[in-house]
This record gives sequence, structure tokens and C-alpha cells, in this order.
Amino acid sequence: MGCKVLDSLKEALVQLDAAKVEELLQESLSSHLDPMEILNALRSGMEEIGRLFENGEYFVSELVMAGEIMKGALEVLKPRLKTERESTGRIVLGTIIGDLHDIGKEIIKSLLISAGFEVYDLGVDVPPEKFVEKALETGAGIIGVSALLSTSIANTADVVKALEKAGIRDRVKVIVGGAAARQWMIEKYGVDAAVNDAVRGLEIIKEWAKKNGTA
Amino acid sequence: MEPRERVLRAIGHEEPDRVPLDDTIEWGHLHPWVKAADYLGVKTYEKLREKLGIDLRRVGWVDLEEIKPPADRSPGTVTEDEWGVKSEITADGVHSRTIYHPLQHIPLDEYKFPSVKADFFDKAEKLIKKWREKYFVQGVMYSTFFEIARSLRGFNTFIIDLYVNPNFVNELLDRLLEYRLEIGKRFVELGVDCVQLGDDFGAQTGMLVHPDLWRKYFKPRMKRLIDELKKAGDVYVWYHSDGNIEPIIPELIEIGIDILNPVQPDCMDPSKIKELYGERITLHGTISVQETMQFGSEKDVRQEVIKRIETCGYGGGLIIAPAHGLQPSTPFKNIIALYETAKKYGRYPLRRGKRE
Repeated sequence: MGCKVLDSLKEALVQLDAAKVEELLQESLSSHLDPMEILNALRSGMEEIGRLFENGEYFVSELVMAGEIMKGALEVLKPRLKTERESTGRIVLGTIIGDLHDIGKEIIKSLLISAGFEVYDLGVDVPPEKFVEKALETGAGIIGVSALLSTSIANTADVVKALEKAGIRDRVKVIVGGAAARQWMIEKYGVDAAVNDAVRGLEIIKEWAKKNGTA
Repeated sequence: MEPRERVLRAIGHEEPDRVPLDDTIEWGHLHPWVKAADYLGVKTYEKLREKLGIDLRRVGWVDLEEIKPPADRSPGTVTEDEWGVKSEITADGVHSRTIYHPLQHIPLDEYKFPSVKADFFDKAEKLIKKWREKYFVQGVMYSTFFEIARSLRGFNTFIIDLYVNPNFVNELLDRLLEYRLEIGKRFVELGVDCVQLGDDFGAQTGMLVHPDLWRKYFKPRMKRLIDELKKAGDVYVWYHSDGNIEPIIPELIEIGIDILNPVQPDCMDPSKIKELYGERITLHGTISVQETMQFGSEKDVRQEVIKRIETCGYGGGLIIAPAHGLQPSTPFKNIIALYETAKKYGRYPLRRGKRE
């Protein structure tokens, strides 16, 4: 019985039916299902949405809508999760200095939050040293740098330099995401990954968090 | 051959004397164009276009005349456009970002669309008269529906509207359609050769908006607009979208688009688009601004232009231009290289240009 509701909940999220998600979420809660299990059902829905995106069946609009539905669901669920759930990892996020585009950053942010990450979002036009300061302050093991303008490409290299200067390069991974991301940045700038879409970015970040355990 | 004839033949899928050329001067940052003008010793944008061999002209947007270094914009300054959308100039003094979306604050039925400025069509008419004999003249109606809607409402909010607020979306888009019909028909009356429509539906690797949402909200209105414009007079329709929009190209052709811009080579392969749709559509743009124009050498630019002519120029149906506005740091010599190469290697009948 419980599983059936959760299956429907997951399916409603995959279908991006906001009203149905809300309804089934309430139903799950009033049937006293474990909030953690409800969350896991939603997360597996988000993973399915990611797969549909990678298969070219879903597009940016679907990631935005899924993020919105998930945000609402998390607000309902959060106070009911008995213990402070262990986070999947901590990540500092921002759009690099010289660039103000935040559509991509908002998408990866909602994907990360849905996947259980603690996200520290620094906004747009962020100087390299701010990323590093925040990583030091929060102990985050990953920095996500968003960049759309090709003009701002070179600024992403400065994040790596700032990490080296602060002496924490070995414990912080850097991923560049967005239209400006290029594979050659790995060799030339020393970043750890460069991706053009948020779903691929999430996969890599999850992989790192899993290996590291303390991201 | 006169530039207008050259363009008309290319769009008619005949081979003119050479591949026609267009510019993107006012689309991006003026800096590299100003430097190119200085290098070529010209003082007006019109002279710059003549010198570069530009075959098309645009009316109804930003009419730039005398060449001056771009004015400094103080960081933090807030500007408001005719739609009531407010933007703030950022720290670099070059870019800006939107900080106020009117339809997040004002109900749609209370929101007034801007009226077309009194002298807008007078200016356009003068330019059309001046250019029409010699050049292919395009009337600008960029940001046709989606981009205006998303700046009025904010990107995420509008995307969510597409899912949960269909009445609002329909009402807003219907009003935009009426607005565009009025301006577009006037352009046709004044005698433009072509109306330029555009909305960015593509991101780097795929569509921003699901093709089904595009079909539901945008395609029918775009069709109605194009039908009415073509009914009003003998005009071509040019359509711009950045990014990868491969899933909707066949339907853009179906609803009457004649010229597709910019076929951004960083996101779609122009030779593939040519192969698939080249008999029914003209490719406009195609030279990478994300990579080649900005970071490439003059040799890289030459190679890309030659490759494009070789793979997309056969049978006409190609107009070369940078795939978008140029970023401030683009070397001006790359502009010169683009147009010089296109004029040299774009001669019909095409010979396989020797790679330099």
C-alpha cells in the first residue's frame, strides 16, 4: 500500500504534475509513511528526470519545473525529518566574476539540494577568492563554478590559483559548468571537471561525494 | 552585382556572384567594430559596412551612425527599458543584469504595453527609402514573444507559468502577438524585404523549452504572425535563436521561415543543417563567436569561413556573418579576416578554396 503511494508520488514528480505531487505528499504523510522514505521516492523521481534529460526527452524547462516542485516538497518534508539528516556533501556554488547568468546555476542548485547536498550559493559575479573563503568557512570539499560567457572563461582558472594560495587545493575539487565550460580547462586551468549541462554535473559531483565521503 | 540582387538570389537558392555578407555590429559590444573602423579609416558605421562588403541592412532597432568609442557605463547604474524592465550595470561597466521584472509585481490586466515611439516608423521609412534600391533591408522584431515574456516575468517564473499558469501565458502571448502584428505589418507597408523575428529557445546542448511547450504556446502564434506578414506583402521571414534548436527546425520551416540565424556552430553542425534542410532554408550567420572570433587567430577565422563556404555555400542559401554580437575582447583583425576571406573564397562558382 505504502509503496504504491510512493510509486505514484515518484511518477507524479516525473510527470511534473505539481498538484498531484502535493496531494500524494499529503497522503503519504497522513498514512504515516517514514518521511525519509518519502524523500527517497522523490529523489529517485529526480534521478529519473535526469535520465530523461540525458536521453533528450526532457529539456531545461523540465529541470526548472522539477526543481520548483521539489523545493515545495522539501519545505513540507524538512520539519518532519526526525533527525538532522546526514548531508550527501557540501558544495560552494556561484557564477564566476564577469558573468551574471544564473539559469544554469539555479538548475544545478536545485538538483543538488534535491540530492541532499548542502549548497552555499554565492550568487553571480563572484570573485575567485570568495569561493575559497566560503569553502574554508564551511569545510565544503567541492566548488561549482558556473560560466556562460566565453569572456569569463579565463577567470575560472583563478579559482584554482586561489585554492592553491590558500593551501587547500588538495582537499577541494573544482567543477566548471555552463555554456563556457570546455574539456581543455582540465589540463590548462587545472580544474577537475568541466560540463555543459547540469545533469552531467550532478553525476560527477555525486561520484566525488561518494568517493570522498566528506565532501 | 548589386548587394540586394546578391541576397535575393542566395535566398532563392541560386548562386549569385559571391556569398552575401551580414554584420552583427549593434548586437553585442561595439569595441571590436570601433577598432576595425579605425583600422580601415572610416568614420561612420555605414562606411564600415560598405568597406566590409555588407549586403544587408537593418532598420527599426538601434540606428548607429557616427563611430565613437563606446560610452563608459558606471557600475551600479540602474536603467529601465520601455517595457519597465530594470537592469543594473555590473562591475565591469560592460554587461548588465535584470533586477526588476514588472509582471512579478503588476497584474497582467493592469500592465500597459509600451507604445511605439512617434518617430520610430518615420526613421525606419527614411532608412528603407535610402537603402532599398541597393541593399536587402530587414525590419527588426527580435525578442518576438518568448524573450519579452521571460524578461517581463523572470526566466524561472515564466517557465513555471508554462506548466501551471496557461491562462496567464495565453493572455500575455496574445497581447504580444497583437503588438508584433501591428509593428510587423507597418514594416511590410514601408517596403522591407524581410522581417526579422527571434527568440532564444536553444541552450548550448539542447532546447531551453521542451518542443511540446513550444508547439503548444509559441508555434501557433509564430505561424499566425508569419501568415499575416506574408499576406500583407512580399516579404521573407528571418528567424533567430541561439543555441541548439534542432528539434524544431523542420517545424520552423513548415510555418514559413525562410532564413535561419545564427546556426550557432558551437551547438549545431551547420553542414548537417545544410544537408538536411538546405534546399528549403537559407543559413545566416554560422561563424563561431564563442570560440573562433574571440579566441581564434586570423588563420583560424579564415579556415572556418572557407570551411563554411565549402560545406554550406553550394547552391546559394548561405549568408555569412558572425554567429552573434562580439565580446569586447574580440581581436578586430578577426573581423577583417572574416570579411576578406568570405569575399575572396565566396565567389561562385565555388572552387575548393586553397586552405591558408
